[in-house]
Amino acid sequence: MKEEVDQIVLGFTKAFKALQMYGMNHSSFRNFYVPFYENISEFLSKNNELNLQIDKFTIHHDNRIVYKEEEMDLSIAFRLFKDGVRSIGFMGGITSDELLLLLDVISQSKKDYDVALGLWECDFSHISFYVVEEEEVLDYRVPDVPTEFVDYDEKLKQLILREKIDIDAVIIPDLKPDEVKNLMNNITDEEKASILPLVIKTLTDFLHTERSKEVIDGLIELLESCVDTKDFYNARRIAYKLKDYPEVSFIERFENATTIMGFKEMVNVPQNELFNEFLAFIGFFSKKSVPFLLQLLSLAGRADRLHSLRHRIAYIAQDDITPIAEFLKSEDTMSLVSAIAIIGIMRNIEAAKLLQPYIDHPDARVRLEIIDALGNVKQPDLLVQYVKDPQMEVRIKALRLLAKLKFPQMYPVLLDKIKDKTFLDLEFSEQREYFNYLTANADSNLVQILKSMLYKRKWFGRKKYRVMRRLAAIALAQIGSSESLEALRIGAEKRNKDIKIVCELVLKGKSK
Amino acid sequence: MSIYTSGKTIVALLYPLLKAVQVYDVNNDVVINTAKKFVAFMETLFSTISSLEFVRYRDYIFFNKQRLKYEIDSYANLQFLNSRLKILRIKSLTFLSGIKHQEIIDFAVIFKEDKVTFLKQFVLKRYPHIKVEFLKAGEEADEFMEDGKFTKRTYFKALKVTKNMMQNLWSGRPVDVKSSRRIVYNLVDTISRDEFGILALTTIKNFDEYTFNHSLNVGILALALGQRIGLDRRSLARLGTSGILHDIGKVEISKELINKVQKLTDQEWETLKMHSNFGVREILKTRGLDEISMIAITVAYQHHWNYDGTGYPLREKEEEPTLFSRVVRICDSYDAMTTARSYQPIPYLPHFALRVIWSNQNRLFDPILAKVFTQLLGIYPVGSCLELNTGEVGLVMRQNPGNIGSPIVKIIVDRNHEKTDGRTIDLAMEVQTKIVRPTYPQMYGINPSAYFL
Repeated sequence: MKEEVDQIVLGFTKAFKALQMYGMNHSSFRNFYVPFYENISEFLSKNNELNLQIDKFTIHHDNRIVYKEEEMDLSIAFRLFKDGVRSIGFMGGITSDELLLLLDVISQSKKDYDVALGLWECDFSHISFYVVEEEEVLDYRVPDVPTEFVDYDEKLKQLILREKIDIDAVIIPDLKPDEVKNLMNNITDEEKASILPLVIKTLTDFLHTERSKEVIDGLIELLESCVDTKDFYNARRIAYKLKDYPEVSFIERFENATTIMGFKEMVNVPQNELFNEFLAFIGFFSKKSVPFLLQLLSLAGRADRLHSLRHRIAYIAQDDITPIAEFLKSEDTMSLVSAIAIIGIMRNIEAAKLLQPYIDHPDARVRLEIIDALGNVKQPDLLVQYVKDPQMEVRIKALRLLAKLKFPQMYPVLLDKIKDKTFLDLEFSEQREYFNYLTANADSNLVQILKSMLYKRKWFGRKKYRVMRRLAAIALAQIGSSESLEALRIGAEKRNKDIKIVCELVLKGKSK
Repeated sequence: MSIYTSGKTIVALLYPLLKAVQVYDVNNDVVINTAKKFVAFMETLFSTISSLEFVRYRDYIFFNKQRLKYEIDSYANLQFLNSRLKILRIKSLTFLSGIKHQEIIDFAVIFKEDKVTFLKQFVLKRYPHIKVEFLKAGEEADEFMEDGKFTKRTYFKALKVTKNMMQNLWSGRPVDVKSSRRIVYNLVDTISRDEFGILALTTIKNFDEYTFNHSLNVGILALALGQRIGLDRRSLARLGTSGILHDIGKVEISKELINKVQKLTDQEWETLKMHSNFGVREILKTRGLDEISMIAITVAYQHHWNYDGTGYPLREKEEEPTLFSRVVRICDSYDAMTTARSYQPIPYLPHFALRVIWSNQNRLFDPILAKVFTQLLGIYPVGSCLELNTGEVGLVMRQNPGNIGSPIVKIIVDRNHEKTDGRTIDLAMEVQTKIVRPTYPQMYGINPSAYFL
């Protein structure tokens, strides 16, 4: 047995040193640790327990020194001894996790670390230890019993009356099975639940009665911890309360590049709920944070997230476009696009002037964003040129906005284009936007024009004109006036199949 | 069935058998049926396991190397087994395949005896399917055997730490957080090792230093109640700390007001009620915001919240006190009632205070916790003085697990009303001795705590 114990203690020492040198994840540590674990497990399976007594620099087993190290920093014995640990016991059934935890606690090198507290916190199942405290002199003196006369029976009667209790009631404190279950569930629930929301509530409730520096500081500390752990739900709750104290600066500490770039994983976090909490929290930020927040935008992998973030930044920037304007100078297209988008969201007409230099930007992504921005600040005249943009996507977007903004000045130009042969060369989606524009900006003649397109004899049997007939029919349905619908109904009665089919289809769609 | 559940079930079946042989003749049907049930269950296990071994190691009970935890549904059984093994100095107890109900009945009969009788009988009779291994001399270190000494040392150390902490707060000096954390763990160790011993020390009340003793007593009572409901050691440490710190807000209230004898004015009462709020600030000042502090903060704030939604500070309808706050609510009330204070020179008798808690369950106190608290302290809590039908007065020294109306008492006043250092009686065993009524120890010039030191 002696040799086995010596072997175990030696293994323990080696594993301890390896842990200090390499850390727990290093293979060198595992090389020392595994044999130690195997040895002690084997020993305990045969002997059931192993008790070691701790002295200042030595460890004893069965009144025999099995370990000696007098160098304080290196000595396992001293580390345990200095914090009052006087014995340590291992029981059969010990797990590797328990041993690793034990080694971890003993190897902690932080100043003021209390090994005994560390061991207690581990709540081992198969490792026990005994800790001594300084001796206390039992100087308690039992107080004298008062000697004055008291009618105790009378006193008891008064108490019974006051408390209104039945002193003879039978007490049966047995718990019913459902009560045991409830209690156990309650314990499990509370163990699982985070205490944080409750503490926040308590501290904020406290502030209802009194402004306390300690409590405000406590909330700020919690806020920092929430932000560190990306718990933006609780961070937001704290920030909401702290904003009642304008003299307390609690958000400034987060408005720096390092912290904000630390939020990058939140931009694409899979759960929308978490993202929304994050978004809500940064709502407390000041415009100082805008340049850093703008950098997050380029990381957004989802269009909806990008959209939400841009809106949030516009909100944070309030009416001040200065920090955003800086990003208009960016050579990075996505940053430029985001800056333009945010300016658009801000709906600041003055800011729209800043966009002028980018109207003819060679990158279609920029032009697309400019269109949105101009749409937001209601500048349709600046959109006109995009109807002739080389990029179809851009043209469509411009047409769509012109329709939305009701800009009749373009009506004759677009009508001419529709009548032009080259119109047939366009994609259906773009052709449709032309007609959408016409219906949105319709004058009294439009129904007549569309009717003539729908019934046009010249196009009978000509396949390529079918699309014109269809677009005219759809436009008539969109107008939805009695005259336009009547035109469709008449068309549906026509003998010509081209007209009949297209009108029937459109009317059917309309009725749906 | 897992090893853990099997172990718990065996202990649960063994306990009624050990109790039954104390009350009934060995040929009684109750005894025989209980033993048969016990054996039948073991037989199901023997189909897969060759031996069923219970090991007692420093107040832990292991079953086939799995530690059995003290949980609400197994507490009494496990505690009883542990105490018997400890008294009989048994290190391990093993049941082997082939055991019959008569063998286990015979064993149960000697298991209730004292150490010498047990040893003699065990050697004399043959138990082919029961193996017992005894502790060798010196095998269990002295400190573990001398619970009384360890318990007292821990109590007074804890009292000193609590007192220092509060005095330092009162005078604006820094607080030794490390000591207070350590002492809580020492108390957790003590409560698992010597629950009755440490509970007995809560009878120490100090009129002049009420707040210190009260804070510690609430911490200890909370730990004991927490242990009974099956909290693990980590949770117990948190609960114990919360118990000790629950009234820490009182350091912000003048001593004159706290000790005022006359009825408080409305304004004074409102000020006093603020101690729940102040507790939050004091804990923040003392300990910062680690996990334990966060729990202690909520308990300090909520410990006057009643079960029915009343109490102070005001709260929103849907807010409920945490489990720890509900535990401390009961323990705080009990200790406050049983302690003499400036405005309550004659404290409530312990059994009376317990009845106040019992009759206010659902209103002020969590009814389930009130039941467990009653199981913990018994109908006549430790420190109660009882007039017996023998004309003597007995002091309750400890509870009888499983028989809460019949505690173990020490005769402290004889038939002639003279103080005496009399015998100790287990009222569950000595059935002819009956309790007439609880009485005030002051009537006999007695301070119960003197008997526990």
